[in-house]
Amino acid sequence: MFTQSGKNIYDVIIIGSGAAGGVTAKLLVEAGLKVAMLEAGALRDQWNDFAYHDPFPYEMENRGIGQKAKTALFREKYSFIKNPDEPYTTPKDLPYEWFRARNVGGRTMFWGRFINRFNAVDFKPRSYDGMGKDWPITYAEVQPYYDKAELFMGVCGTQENHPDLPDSKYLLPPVAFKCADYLIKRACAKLNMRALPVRRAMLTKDYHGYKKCHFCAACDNGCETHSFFNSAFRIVVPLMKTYPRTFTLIPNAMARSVNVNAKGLASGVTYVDKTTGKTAEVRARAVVVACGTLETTRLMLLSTSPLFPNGIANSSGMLGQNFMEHLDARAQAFLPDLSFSPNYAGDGIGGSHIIIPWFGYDRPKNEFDFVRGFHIEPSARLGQNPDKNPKGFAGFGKDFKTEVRRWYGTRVRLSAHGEMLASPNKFVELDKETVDKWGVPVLKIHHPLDDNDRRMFKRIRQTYEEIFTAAKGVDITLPKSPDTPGASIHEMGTAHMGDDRKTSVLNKFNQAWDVKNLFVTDAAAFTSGSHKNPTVTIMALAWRASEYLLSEMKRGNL
Amino acid sequence: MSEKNNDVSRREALKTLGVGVVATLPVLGAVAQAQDHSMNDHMNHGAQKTAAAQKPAALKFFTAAENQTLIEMSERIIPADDHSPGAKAARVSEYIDMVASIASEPTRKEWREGLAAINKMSRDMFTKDFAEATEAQQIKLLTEISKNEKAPKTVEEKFFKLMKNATLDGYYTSEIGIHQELKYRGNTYLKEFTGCTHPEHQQG
Repeated sequence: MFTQSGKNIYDVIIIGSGAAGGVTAKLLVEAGLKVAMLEAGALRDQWNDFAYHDPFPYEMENRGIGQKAKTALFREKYSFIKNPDEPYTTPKDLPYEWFRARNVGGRTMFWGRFINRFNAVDFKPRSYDGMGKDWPITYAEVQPYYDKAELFMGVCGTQENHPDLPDSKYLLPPVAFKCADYLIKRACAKLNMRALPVRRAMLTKDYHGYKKCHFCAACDNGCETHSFFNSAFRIVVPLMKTYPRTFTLIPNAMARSVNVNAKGLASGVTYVDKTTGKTAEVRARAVVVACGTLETTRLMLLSTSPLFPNGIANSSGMLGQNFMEHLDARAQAFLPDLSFSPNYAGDGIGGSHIIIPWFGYDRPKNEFDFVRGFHIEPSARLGQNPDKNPKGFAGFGKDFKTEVRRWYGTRVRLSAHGEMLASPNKFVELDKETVDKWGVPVLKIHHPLDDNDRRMFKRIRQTYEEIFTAAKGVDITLPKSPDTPGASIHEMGTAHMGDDRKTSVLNKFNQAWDVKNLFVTDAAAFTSGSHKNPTVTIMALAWRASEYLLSEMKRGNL
Repeated sequence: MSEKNNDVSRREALKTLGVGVVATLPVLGAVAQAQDHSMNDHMNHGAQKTAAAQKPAALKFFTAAENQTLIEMSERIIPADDHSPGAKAARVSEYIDMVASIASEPTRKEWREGLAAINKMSRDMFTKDFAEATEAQQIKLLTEISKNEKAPKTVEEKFFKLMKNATLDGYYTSEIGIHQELKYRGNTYLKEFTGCTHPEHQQG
């Protein structure tokens, strides 16, 4: 294995291999730089570390009783919320569920693949409603990078001219609607809301050498054709193959500090090799942090030096502040109109085939007692373990059997992501009293709901009821409260970009104000969060930041 | 219907898929073999079931007489109809025998004593064991013991609930239940996803 020595220095170290680290590596390595990528988890074997599909119950010993599905076992092995080796803390009574991945590809190995661009308002929300912060960049500046990221991944969908969702010229064919999708779309139309074919990073035709989706809908189990975009097998492994001399993956490497030299520049990264417990250092001309928002901020807070006693690049004191995620809530109902005609074609691309974007742009502003918006992801999935008697019918015999069949496939779920405002009460900090397995202080996460969140939740709940009622749903189950904070797995901010070095951590190119050869390319850089699933914006900004890093290196500025 | 045409044959899937995977991801030495293995798993759900379907499994817990009662009763709960075969064809009794064989002692007792109570009830009502009674008689008895399904009180009523739940679990996790009765078609290779084909869903 590579050992660090004075003469063996990389051009760039990238910490993290998910959406942000992956795109950054692609850009820098393809441009000819010598890059090392640190990943806190392992490189999963393509054929042995994924379930791909779980057997049907009748194929399992004892029908699977007492056994965990292979997919669940892999999920436990490569991701976690609670883990005694890697704890985090929260204030009492303020739970937060922090989902972390530990494998090459990061959380793109588990994601929902929704591709929803931020629009012009999402980048300038303060100018729009006076709340929160404007980004230092506009939609027009990011738009070419959305194009690049979408062209690279392959995204299915349609052009719709919807005010919430900017269109893309480069969409692959949309995926066909399920029966329930038509009913939800019709219900939305009655409510003056539009439901659109979903845009997701799913190949609906052969693309750049990858096969199109084969519609097994077992996406959670891993996709052997990689029609489901993921950073491991669509970026990292191909880079290893094509650039064996200039791209080095260092797996099982838990970064614990970004080091600075006497000039105040980033000089390298110290990490713990999780397989041996030993500490090592890699050095480079520039460092890109892309550990997945909160882990990024934790690492920067841990990277103290005489020059940066409160964490690297933290002269503004904003590291850990401006923390946002999404307000999640879910509901379900049974739609009698689907009786006896569930979608016999299977479950499609897994998850939603339609999306209900934020409908507020078409309404008078005073219709809402909260700011910002939410979107809804409807899904009607049958699944390979059928609902046996979802409505709890009594009795037996032919009538009973018919009732089970009548309701099979009629359950529809609605799931919203809502925008949350940053506030001084939402932040992360180091908890110096609690350390992880390697003796490193862990993060303490503060994420209380605020009044805007609560008012928005009420409207989400009301909207669920309106949609299900319009769709003639029965047994409507509405959420009593939002999901536990963290459930969206959309942490954003905590090292955000801005126009002013006194009030932000990064400039508009994801470059640290204080340390010019340090970049943050994950969602920690977000100034505000919108309600859109963040990954495509992470990728677009990582792409843009990488081009800037390359040009600065070429000019001799780094 | 068109759904049939969407099945990709194993050979065809291997061919089309194999080309793409090997061309883009020649990562590991044993790719071809591993790929074939994985593909085989993915494609051939239930390949073993045809062979297994030939002979009934040996009983692990119940006696032959008890098993006969289970077969009859499960078929009354989920009968064959015009749409699909019932619990008997799906061999739900074998599933229940397996469940009882790995169950806790109190649950096993519940099964054994419940079956005995049902047979006693059957003898009282029809002068024969449940399995020997006519279909109409069996339904009459089941109707009697299912009256308090939500809050069963007697041994017989409690047994009905146990039996019904086990029958549902066994039937709707069987190949017949999932694929013939509910017609689930996911978790396999499909050439296309056709989506909804019902005009009544698409109007408006």
